[in-house]
Amino acid sequence: MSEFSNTPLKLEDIPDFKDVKLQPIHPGFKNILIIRFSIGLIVTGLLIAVLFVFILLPLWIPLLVSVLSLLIFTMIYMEFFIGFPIRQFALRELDIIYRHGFFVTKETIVPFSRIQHIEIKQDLLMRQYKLYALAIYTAGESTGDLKISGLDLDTAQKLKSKVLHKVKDE
Amino acid sequence: MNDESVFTLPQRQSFQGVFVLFFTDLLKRFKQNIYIIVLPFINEKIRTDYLWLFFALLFVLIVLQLLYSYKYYLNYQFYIRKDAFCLDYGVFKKSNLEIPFYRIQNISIEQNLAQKILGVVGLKIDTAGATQAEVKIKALSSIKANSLKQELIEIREKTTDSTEVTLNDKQERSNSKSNSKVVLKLSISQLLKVGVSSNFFKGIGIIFLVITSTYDLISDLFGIFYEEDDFHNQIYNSVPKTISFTFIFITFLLILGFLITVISAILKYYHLKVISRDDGFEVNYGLFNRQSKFIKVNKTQIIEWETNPIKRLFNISNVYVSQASSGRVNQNKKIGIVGVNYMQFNEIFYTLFNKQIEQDFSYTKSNFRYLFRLFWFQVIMTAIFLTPTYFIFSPLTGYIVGSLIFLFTGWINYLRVKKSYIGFNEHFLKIGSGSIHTKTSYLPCYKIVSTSAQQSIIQKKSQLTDLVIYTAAGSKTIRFIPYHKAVDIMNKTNYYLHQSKKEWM
Repeated sequence: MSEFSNTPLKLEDIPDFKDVKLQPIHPGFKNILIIRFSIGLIVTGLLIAVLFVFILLPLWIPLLVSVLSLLIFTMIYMEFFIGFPIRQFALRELDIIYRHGFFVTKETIVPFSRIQHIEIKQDLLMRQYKLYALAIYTAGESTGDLKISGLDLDTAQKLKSKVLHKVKDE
Repeated sequence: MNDESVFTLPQRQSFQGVFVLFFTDLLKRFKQNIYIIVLPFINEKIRTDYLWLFFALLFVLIVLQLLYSYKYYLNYQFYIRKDAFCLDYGVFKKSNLEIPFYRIQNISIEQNLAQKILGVVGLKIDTAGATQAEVKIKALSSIKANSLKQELIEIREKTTDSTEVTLNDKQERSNSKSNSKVVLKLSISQLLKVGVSSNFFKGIGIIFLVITSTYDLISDLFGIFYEEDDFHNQIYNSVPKTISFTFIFITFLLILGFLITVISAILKYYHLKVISRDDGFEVNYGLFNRQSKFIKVNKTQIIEWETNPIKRLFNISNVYVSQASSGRVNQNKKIGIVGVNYMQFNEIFYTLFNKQIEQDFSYTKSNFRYLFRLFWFQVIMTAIFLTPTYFIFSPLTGYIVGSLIFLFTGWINYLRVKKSYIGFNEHFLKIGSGSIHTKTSYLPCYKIVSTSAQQSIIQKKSQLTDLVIYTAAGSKTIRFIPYHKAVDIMNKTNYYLHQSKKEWM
């Protein structure tokens, strides 16, 4: 470890990631979430209706299915709308921080030096709103990857170039 | 040396390769088309009218397969060029594959049953990449395979030495110049101890799998001749509904599970030998399926030490090493070394990480609220055992078995919570887990890829969180630790990670 010329830091002085002020994602992404949510709701509703009308099932089956899906949709609704302000990210000098989720809040730190590659993605719905997703791939298991959805092009590209620049520096 | 090497010229496999290829392909075809082969035995019309045609066709196909294998063997050529390992192959569509030396991750020599009979070995070259590109040379003489492996390792060494390896590593390497010594060699009696102290539940699981699948198979086959209901009735009627039968049955299962576990452990780890080399360990084991694996110092991410009460009695334990990989690292991909005592583990640890294993860690234990989440496991397991015994045997048996299982799984859950902890210092994370067995995982801070804190709304109320540590060889989760501790660990490991300039993958 001869390469270090750092003056030793006191352990209390190590920067705390909780002190970093996080940045919310684009508010327009909420609309995308609403549309996705509604499509899912309509499709499931139709399926339940088909179950009711065309297939002669004992009444309790479609009832149970509708109650369960109602419950699930309420939870997704809460996840999206109460959870929306929780979706925040921040860049630090050496890493990127992302936080998301209402029922399960996940806070992740990915150091730039551990990033393998980065992609800017966009699906059909996002194209309508001119929003993008930044996918950050790390080595190993895919669960360690990070995807930040709902960024405008400017932010996405800025993030990408900043991260790439940092990755190259290493 | 590599200028005059034979491998600069295109090489074929051993001639036996034709047969290895032929048999493996034939087996594959057979598996794919099993239904067509079974056809004449089911349908009487086909059996009487077209049986000769069927066999003639089968014969032609086998001959064609043999010709294909021969041609494949002729076209399959490999050679070493200045900067890459090259491979030409293909019968109808010819391909040329080039693997740059620096992309080669791992070279292993393996021998399956067919290869053993024909007296050849297989050589596997693993590469790292988004898509799994790997080369499997199916038949080489043992001498040729070893010299090819040696040569590839040497060339790789030369190419990486000039580019990647840091100063630190070079110094370490010159200190321990070319020593290859046997760290561990398992005798049959030790192997027996390993087998006896293995987890029998796995063996019992295998038996259940075999029983259920053969039951399905038998009822499928006989279902053609008998009416389905009759068959089921026969089976159920012949099950005596007595408690003594249950106990005999369970004892039988336990003994069988025990035997299967012991035998499979012996077959798998037969003649285990761990040899320490310059940049890692070579691990050889197996009776029918002889494996040769290499643990590289640089690629090693996590090392796990596993023991259980019986193993402690014998003073042996298992060590698992996880290396960086492109896919998911599951239990099969980890390199297992069994029958290791603490001294030997210490030696392996020291070689891999250049640190003693005994260090000061600051520990954080999982909170006992973790039991609430594990409670589901208890409920489901109880239901799985209670329901069938309740209906097949008697309600009383059901309740007895159910409550026993409930107590047993409760005890297991208690142990799981008790054994779950994380310790850290500036060099390592030490993560404890296990139930009846005890597992201790060590991973160097500079090998961490990312960290995250996962907090459910229930955990939020009690200020607890799950901490996930991602590495290039899979992730580790520590559940229900205090939130501020998790944040502290994330901050500090993140700091240590940036401090280290060592090569991490």
